Amino acid sequence: MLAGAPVFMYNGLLMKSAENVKKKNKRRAIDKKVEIRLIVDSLVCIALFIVLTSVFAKRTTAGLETVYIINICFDIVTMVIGYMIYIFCMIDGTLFNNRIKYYKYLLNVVYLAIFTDGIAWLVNGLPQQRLANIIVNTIYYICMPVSCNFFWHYISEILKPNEKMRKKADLIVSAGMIVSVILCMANLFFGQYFTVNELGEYHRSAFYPIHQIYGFFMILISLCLMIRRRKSLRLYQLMAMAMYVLAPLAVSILTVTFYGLSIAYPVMMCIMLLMYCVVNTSRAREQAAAARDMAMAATIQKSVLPDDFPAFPDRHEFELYASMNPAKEVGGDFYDFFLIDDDHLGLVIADVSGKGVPASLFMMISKSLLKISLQAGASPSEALRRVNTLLTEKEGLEMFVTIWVAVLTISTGEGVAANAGHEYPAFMRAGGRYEMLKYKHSPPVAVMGGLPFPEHAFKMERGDKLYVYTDGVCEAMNHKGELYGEERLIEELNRAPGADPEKVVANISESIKEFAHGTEQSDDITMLCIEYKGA
Amino acid sequence: MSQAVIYRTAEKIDISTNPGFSEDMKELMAEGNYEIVIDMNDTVYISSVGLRTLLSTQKECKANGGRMVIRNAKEMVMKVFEVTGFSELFTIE
Repeated sequence: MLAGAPVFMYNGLLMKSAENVKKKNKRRAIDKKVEIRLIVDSLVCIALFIVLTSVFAKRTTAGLETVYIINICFDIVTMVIGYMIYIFCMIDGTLFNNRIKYYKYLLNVVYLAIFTDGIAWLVNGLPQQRLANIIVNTIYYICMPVSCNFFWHYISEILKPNEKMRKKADLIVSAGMIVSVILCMANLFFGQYFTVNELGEYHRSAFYPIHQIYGFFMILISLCLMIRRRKSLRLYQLMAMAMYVLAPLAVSILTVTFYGLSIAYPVMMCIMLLMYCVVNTSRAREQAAAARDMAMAATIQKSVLPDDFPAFPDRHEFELYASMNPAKEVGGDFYDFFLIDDDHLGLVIADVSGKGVPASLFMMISKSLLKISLQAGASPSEALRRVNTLLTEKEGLEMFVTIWVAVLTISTGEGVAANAGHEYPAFMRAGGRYEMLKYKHSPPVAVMGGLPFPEHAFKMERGDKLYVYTDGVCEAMNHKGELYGEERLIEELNRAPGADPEKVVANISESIKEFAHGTEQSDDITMLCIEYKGA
Repeated sequence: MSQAVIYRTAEKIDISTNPGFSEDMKELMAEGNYEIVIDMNDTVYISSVGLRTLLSTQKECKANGGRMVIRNAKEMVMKVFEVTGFSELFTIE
């Protein structure tokens, strides 16, 4: 299904609407911000790089042991690699947005660690640079717990452990980091990890191994997470992650006899490059494919809904209006209305429980089959039963759809409705107030075969109004995480009980927008309102 | 239900937390636990994705001769079960 088609084709399709043009402009504004950050960060990166190389040039190799020189060269090379990865990240940034936030933080810390490591070797043994030696070493020590912390956040962002475990682990990891950083600072006074003597020479102290405890602990906990959630990634991606924790460890052990060779961070940087290639880029590709699918699903969903209003300009017995406002991550909401014959009007509102292309296909089947069944004379209950039978034939679809369906006899105002797990309709008697029509629901369609869908009768008089909606209305959320809710909905409906269907839909849309106040819409918001005007 | 496993659900089961919940359920069943008690005492909100997970868990438990029981559902959660008609499908204690 067009799997290989380029992404921009769908963008082109979508950018027709004014809304999307707006979005496009917004994206440009973000790009501008990214540009400025890119310049500032680049300046910092390059400045650190120049500092290290110029100090190296000034000091020259005289008096430096060969192993120091090798070490510093490693540092310089990996700093260049780090800067390159950073640029890649920023260029791809719009693709991942928040997801690689911690990867970027990690990159910054490793970069800083390499820089301080290089400087530390250059100033070692120079009495006049004693203070600088202490400072860079302290920063170098602090980098370890901080980088562990960011690495943890990065992998838990990708591997997604269950929430409870993650909260607990986050707490332990953060507490460990804080303690570890405080101990590094305390070293300035107590010298328990390292000291720099009067000659400017760096020496490890007796408690140096304590500093490593947090690191070992983090290696363990990270590996545990990887093993537990190994199924969520491909093997080579996991290997890259595991190497990030194991390689520096291996290097430390191998170089334990070479005093002066501290290449753990440079090795980490190389592995970060590897991780970038195998984890982030393959994820980016998947995300691009998912985005394309979503765009396609949105197009399908939008295009099959009747949206020419007034829908029945020559019918004066009723007036109706409906709208569907899709969320960013498209769901499977739909509404439908059609004349069954001259005297019967079919009304449908539904919500498929999934997202994306599968939900859209599910929606297409449900919508078409309902319409065909009703137009062939089936009752709402019978129509639901048919859809249910078709959708439960195949096991393992793991989706369901809540449907409210009604048939209204236009000449009398009498109606029959069936509700398969859908929200309560709101009903208003002429001159009265909106109230929720509460009655027992049957389970949604496609949950299991052979379910009955009981019907109930209702009667509309001149001026009565019926408002149906999907859960996107009541579950709209504001920045505090509060839900819009049923009560607010009824309150808002009753603010203007006399409003015609189009106005009702507009009022509620406006009210939800005000309530959400910029909080991103997580579900489709769909509603349909009908007013009966009498035969 | 002597060897039933009790699972306590999180505060919210929605699009962001459901993947973890679903994974846990699959893991439990993969280990051969088909008598599962879902303790929803801590849960104040469940969205349709969460219902889907409960439903597929129940299906798989039943298919393997076990069952899934929901316990301590709060008023908000019960309301969702009733509106969606799932109260008829689930065993709620």
